[in-house]
This record gives sequence, structure tokens and C-alpha cells, in this order.
Amino acid sequence: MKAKKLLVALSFSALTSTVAFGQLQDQKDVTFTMDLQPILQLNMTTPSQIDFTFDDINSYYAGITRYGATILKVSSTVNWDLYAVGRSNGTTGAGFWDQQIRYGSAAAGGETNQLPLSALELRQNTPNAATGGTGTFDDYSSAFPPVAAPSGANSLYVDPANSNTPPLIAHKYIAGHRGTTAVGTDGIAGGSYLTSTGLTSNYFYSIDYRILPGLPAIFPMAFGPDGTTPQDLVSINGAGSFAQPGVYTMYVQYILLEDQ
Amino acid sequence: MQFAKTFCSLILCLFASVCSGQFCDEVVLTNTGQSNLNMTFDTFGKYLSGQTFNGATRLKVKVDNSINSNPACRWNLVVLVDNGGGVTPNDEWETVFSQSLSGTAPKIDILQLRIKNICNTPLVGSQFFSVPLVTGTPVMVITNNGITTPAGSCIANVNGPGNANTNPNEYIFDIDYRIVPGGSLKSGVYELRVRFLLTEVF
Repeated sequence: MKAKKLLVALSFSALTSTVAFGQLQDQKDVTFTMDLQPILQLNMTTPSQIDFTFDDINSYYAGITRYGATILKVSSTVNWDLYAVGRSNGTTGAGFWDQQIRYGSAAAGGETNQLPLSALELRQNTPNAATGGTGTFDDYSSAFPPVAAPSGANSLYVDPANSNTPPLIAHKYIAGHRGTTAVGTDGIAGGSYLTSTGLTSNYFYSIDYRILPGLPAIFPMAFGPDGTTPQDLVSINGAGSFAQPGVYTMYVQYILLEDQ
Repeated sequence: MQFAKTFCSLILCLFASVCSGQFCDEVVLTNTGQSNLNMTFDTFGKYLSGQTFNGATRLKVKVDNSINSNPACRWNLVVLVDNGGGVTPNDEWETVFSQSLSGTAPKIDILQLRIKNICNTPLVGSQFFSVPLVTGTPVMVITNNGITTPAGSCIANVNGPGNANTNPNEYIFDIDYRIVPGGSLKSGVYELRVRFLLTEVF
């Protein structure tokens, strides 16, 4: 009986000891809150206005090209897409150049002042690094097509809704494509021209422009957003159609946005 | 009677073992720096070069042994990371808010620490290092190598009894933080906790 009491006492003592003699410990926490704000910067170097004056036969036949007229430099902290879209005020109709002045007093048969915005051609020096495009032409990196072989390889994208809605995956982007599948497929990884240098940086683009009226002036290089549907004046208005002489204006919007 | 003797011996052994589990009287860790740090990345330069907060945390260690006076009293200091667990992968910051459509959530290891004191007792040295993953091996600032290095030695791994008042060069730890986000991260607000754990070791 005495032994049992001793056992109980010792057991209790051991239990008490366990509670009383735990491992000493202390801790301090530091909480970090990190605010990553999205940064998309498009630096553009370009004349405020680029003039194309067609005043001799050669310029109509061969067109006029402005090499390196626009330089685009990208800095982004998020994955991104870059595209160009042709815009106008729509004074002669949605999707057409604005006619500022008309030369001559009476319209000749077949004349039209509705010149498609897609008549402007672009060429980028570095191909689109995103390879997920499904269209005939994924970007504007092709050489300007020869006069004898009209093509939509370089015709400017124009939003069918006459806005600046991003092109579809089958349309042209300067960099990236619609969708968020993966970097390299439909988006370009965040980065900057400041750190990604070299002749073929994905963050630096030199843009050439060309307008080729042709003779008669039907703008044979004008094609729809898919690059395969002709939008030259004959295809749209019928045989015998040609551009009305005058001064026309339009503008190109370059849009840098997070990969979407 | 023989059983009783054996049982008593076992209990006494257990008692002795448990008693010997505490060699120090008290361990206290104090942070006189900031316990909340906000880092805002709103320029491309900050993304590229990162942000550094020097001396944002100052830890003071106090390990008292005046009552027990046990020569085996020693301690270690460990860095752990907590990202809230749950659905957050163990190598990512906890997402508080994100409006991004693409990219990846920031990884834990973009947070770097530098721990130092005057005597340079931290074993991690004086260079920046990435914090460990939630499930990774904790960083031992002062490790348990089974040897008690007394206060005043001013050498690596001082882990004996002492405090910041009498031996500030060994018992005060200044901690710098650096974050270099880089590109392609989802924008948003993220959170992470760094835990400093002072423990008596046996």
C-alpha cells in the first residue's frame, strides 16, 4: 500500500514537472505587405504628322515608304500585348480616311472619297515573338509586297467596330496575341527595352509605313483584318472605281495592354 | 516489490529527464523595429532594382540563467516563413488582392534578408539571402551545435546566457530586407510573415 502511494506521488510529481519545465521559447513576427502596381509604358518617337504626297506617276505606281518613321519602346511589369489600329473621325464613313479637301469641282464617274484605312501598310523590324496566332499573317514583319503581287501581309488592322478593340487571335499584333495561354504563345513577358537590348529586342520596334495607291488609284494593298479579304476600291465599289483627288488624314493608335 | 522498485526507477529517470529539459530561467525576444513593412512598387525602376529597408527590424535577445546557473543553458535563433497556408502554394506569397489577368504570383524567395550584429555572430554571414520556403529548412541564425559559446566571446554563434544590455554587440541583431520583384508577376497586393524564433536548446 505504501509502495502504491509512493508510485502515485512520483507519477504526479513527474507530470507536474513536465508541465512546469517545458522548453522556453519566444517569437516575433514581421509582416510584409507588397503592393505590385502594374506598369505599362509605351515610349514613342515619331513625327507628329507623316505626309505622303502623291504628285507624280512614279509615286502612284511604286508608292511612298517612310522608313523607321516611328520607334516604339516598351517597359512593362506584366505580360503584355501590343497592336496597332487604324482610326479616323469617320467624316466620310466609318473605316475610311477623313477627306479634308477635295481637288476639282465635279466628281468624275467612279470617283470615291471612301479610302479604306487599311490602305496604310506597316512593317515592324522585329517579328512578333508570340507564335500562337492563327491567321494568315500574325504580325507586320513581312517585307512590303511587290506592286505586282498585292497582299494583305502589311495592311493595317482596322477594328470592324470602328473602335480600338483588340484584334482577334487570327489578326495582326505587333507583339502578343489575344488570349492568356502562355508567354511566347499569346503574350510577351514583362521586361523593358532598358535591359533587353540588341537588334532584335522584343521591347523595341522600328515601324516603316507605306502607301501604294496604284494606277488607277485603287489601293491594291488594302485588305481586311484577316489579311485575305481585299478592300481595294475596285473590290469594294466595283470596276472603274478610283480615289478622288484630295487631302486625306487618318491616324494610327498603338495600344499596349496587359496580356488579355 | 521488485516491480515497484523498477517503476520507481523509471519514474525518477523520467523526472530527472524532464527536469533537465530546462536549463535557462527565461528567454525573451524583443523587436524594437517595425513589425509591419509596406513595400509599394510603382515605378519600373523599383521593379528592376528592388527596394531595400536597412535596419527595419532590431531584435534583442535576453537569455537569463541567474537562478538555475546551469552551464548547459544555451539557445538558438531561427527564421521561419508563414504565408497563411490554405490554398496558397508553399513557395508563394499570400494573395490579398490581384487584378491581373496573366503572369505568376510572386515567389517567397524574392524576399531577401541580411542579419548582422557588431560581432557578426550570425552564422548566415553578412550577405543577403533568400528566405526559406514554408516547408523548407529554417534558416539558423544562431544554431545549436551542442557547444555553449559564452557572452563576451565576440565570435560566431554566441549562444550562452546574456542580454542586449550587457552584450549589445552579440545580443542585438539588425535585419535588413530587400525585395527585387523582376517582371511578369501578377500585379496586386501580397502578404508574407517572417517569424523569428528564439528557443532554449538542450
